[in-house]
Amino acid sequence: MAHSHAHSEAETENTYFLDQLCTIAVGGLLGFTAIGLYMKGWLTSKFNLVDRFHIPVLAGGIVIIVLVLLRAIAVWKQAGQARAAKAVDHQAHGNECGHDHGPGEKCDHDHEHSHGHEHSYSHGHEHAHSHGHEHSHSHGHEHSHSHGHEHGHSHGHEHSHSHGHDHAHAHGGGHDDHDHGWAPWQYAVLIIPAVLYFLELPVDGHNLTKLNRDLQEVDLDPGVANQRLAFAHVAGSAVLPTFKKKGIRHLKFSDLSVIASRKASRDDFEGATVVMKGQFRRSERKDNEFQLFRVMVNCCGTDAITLRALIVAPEPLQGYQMMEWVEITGEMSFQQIRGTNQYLPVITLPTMEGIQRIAPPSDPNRDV
Amino acid sequence: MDQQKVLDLIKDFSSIVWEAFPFIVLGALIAGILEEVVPQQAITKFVPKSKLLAVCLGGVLGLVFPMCECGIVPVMRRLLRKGLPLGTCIAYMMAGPIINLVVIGSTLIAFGQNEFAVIMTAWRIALGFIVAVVTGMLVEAMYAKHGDSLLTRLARPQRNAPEKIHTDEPHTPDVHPAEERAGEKRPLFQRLGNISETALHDFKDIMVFLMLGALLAALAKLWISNDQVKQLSTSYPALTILAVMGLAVLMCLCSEADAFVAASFQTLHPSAQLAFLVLGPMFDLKLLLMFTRVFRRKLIMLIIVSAIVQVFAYTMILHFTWQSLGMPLRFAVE
Repeated sequence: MAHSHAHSEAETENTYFLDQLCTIAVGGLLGFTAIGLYMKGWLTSKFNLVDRFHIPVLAGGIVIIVLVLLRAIAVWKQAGQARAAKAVDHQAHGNECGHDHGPGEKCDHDHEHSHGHEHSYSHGHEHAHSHGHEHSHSHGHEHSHSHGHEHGHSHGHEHSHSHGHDHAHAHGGGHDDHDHGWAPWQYAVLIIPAVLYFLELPVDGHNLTKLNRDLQEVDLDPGVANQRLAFAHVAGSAVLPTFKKKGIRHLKFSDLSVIASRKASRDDFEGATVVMKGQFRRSERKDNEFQLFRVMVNCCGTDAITLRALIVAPEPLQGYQMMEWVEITGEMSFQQIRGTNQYLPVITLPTMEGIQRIAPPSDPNRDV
Repeated sequence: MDQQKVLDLIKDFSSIVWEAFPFIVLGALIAGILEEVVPQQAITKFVPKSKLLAVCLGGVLGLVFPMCECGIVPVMRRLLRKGLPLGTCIAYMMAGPIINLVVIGSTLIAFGQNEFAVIMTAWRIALGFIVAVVTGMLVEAMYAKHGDSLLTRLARPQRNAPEKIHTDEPHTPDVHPAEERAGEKRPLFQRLGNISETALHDFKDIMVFLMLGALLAALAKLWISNDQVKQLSTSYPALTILAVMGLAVLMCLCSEADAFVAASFQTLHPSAQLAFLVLGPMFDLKLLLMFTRVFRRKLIMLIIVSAIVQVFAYTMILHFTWQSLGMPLRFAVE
């Protein structure tokens, strides 16, 4: 079905090249951003991305840069060919039409295009006409020659006849009023990560909204544990001798969460002396209590799980900052969270020497 | 929205984007190579003639071609163009992120590498396969009725070439002439140029919708937490299962990490954990937006409804039969 398009060849060709240039620019920007994030170590500090993703992000950035370079060279060549083909085409049109086009004069009338030449590519792709909605109409219109893609553009093949065009004809789908040439909004979305990179956003550390929510203080059932601790305090010990266990156990938070979930393991660890490392968060209820926590990340900050224990010190705590890294040595017990069937580990420090400041680990996502 | 929430939104958005970035690049690169190197209909030679077998093949392709759910979309779009049956593609897309060695391994580790972990991993694989195959067959039935109108134009396999007016070449009705040249010898630089054009186009196309999905997921996380799910009572299994399914859709976790999150829901019945593990890799906010680059609305609705209904039904059945089947419970009502 041949029909006339009310379009300018020069405009549509410009749209194609503009689209290609924007793709190259945005791709390059994202590639450099990926490499920059890796080099600065921001993948961990800002996004909590675990180690095994760091090299893939770097590799992805390098691959995109390579693709962008290849594409830039190809587009450069296409642009040269397009200019040359235009000059030849212009001469040919002048001969066929039986009239002369003066130098620089546009050939803006309709005539059939001769297509006795080959399309020597096999790409099939749409050129950036995404609208974020469905096209329920058919585009099977339209071109009396075949491209294998929706809106033909010159692709560095023998003819430079561009086809990205404004639809001045009816689609039957109410889309007459928009241009299918390119979609600038996509580029606005795509540059967001690069803009954030140059603004050095986000800030380092955890998602504080989520962390504060996860570390909200809970009401604990008094139960047996509190009574036991009260008797123990009278007796001058954190834990009654009948509950004490020999030896010191170094625990990780990931182990502790499993231990807390089973009665048999809770009983096994009740009264045990444990050593644990984590980050400090002061209690709002009592000045001699704080939460010790770690954030367990398996891929990135989105899947972060906050693991915690309540630490009870013999005296009020002074001088410790939120998120500061500490190591504690104390005696383990478990208390049920009121209204649930979950148990919170509670570690009682026999003396203030039971809490020591430590240096932050090089990889906070390891050995949680 | 206060400043801290905005910063946390940016953090979650960026985490999802940069975690998915290498897989989108990989998927786009593979798509570019497929488009340039693989001749039309070459893939169909390896696909069984029986639709059911073809769909089942799609369900286990992830064992051979492991891809995360983000990277699979651009690859699948090109496979569709090259003639891989739609049902097979759908089955691969849905089951591939679950039935692959990396995710199988991470599921085992997340649940503790014991008997319970083996059971959970086995059920995740089984349910993932069944949901994917059933959905694939439903899609095949719909495709028989509606044809290529279910797909975006870019994803449609090239069939009857448009009528050619100004050529002396013989008319080949089944394969587009340009597509026949895929696999032919061409100068290396031309090939690389073609691959880069397709790869960059697909990268751009998919990345945009990944970012939009990541933004939606980050917004959802501001108001929804894992703990809210943990508090759900197991007295209402239907409600619990629906809630975790909703969480899986909103959280947009990658299929490697979701096992650890599901394992942390220690108070939930294993059936609810499985609902989270099976639905998440098949359908979430970012996948929904990426689907629009391949499928039309009708097909997207079928995929979503099929996945949700099946996951809910199977996990409800599991909930009521779990203990009678003699399987252990791992959660903390002990």
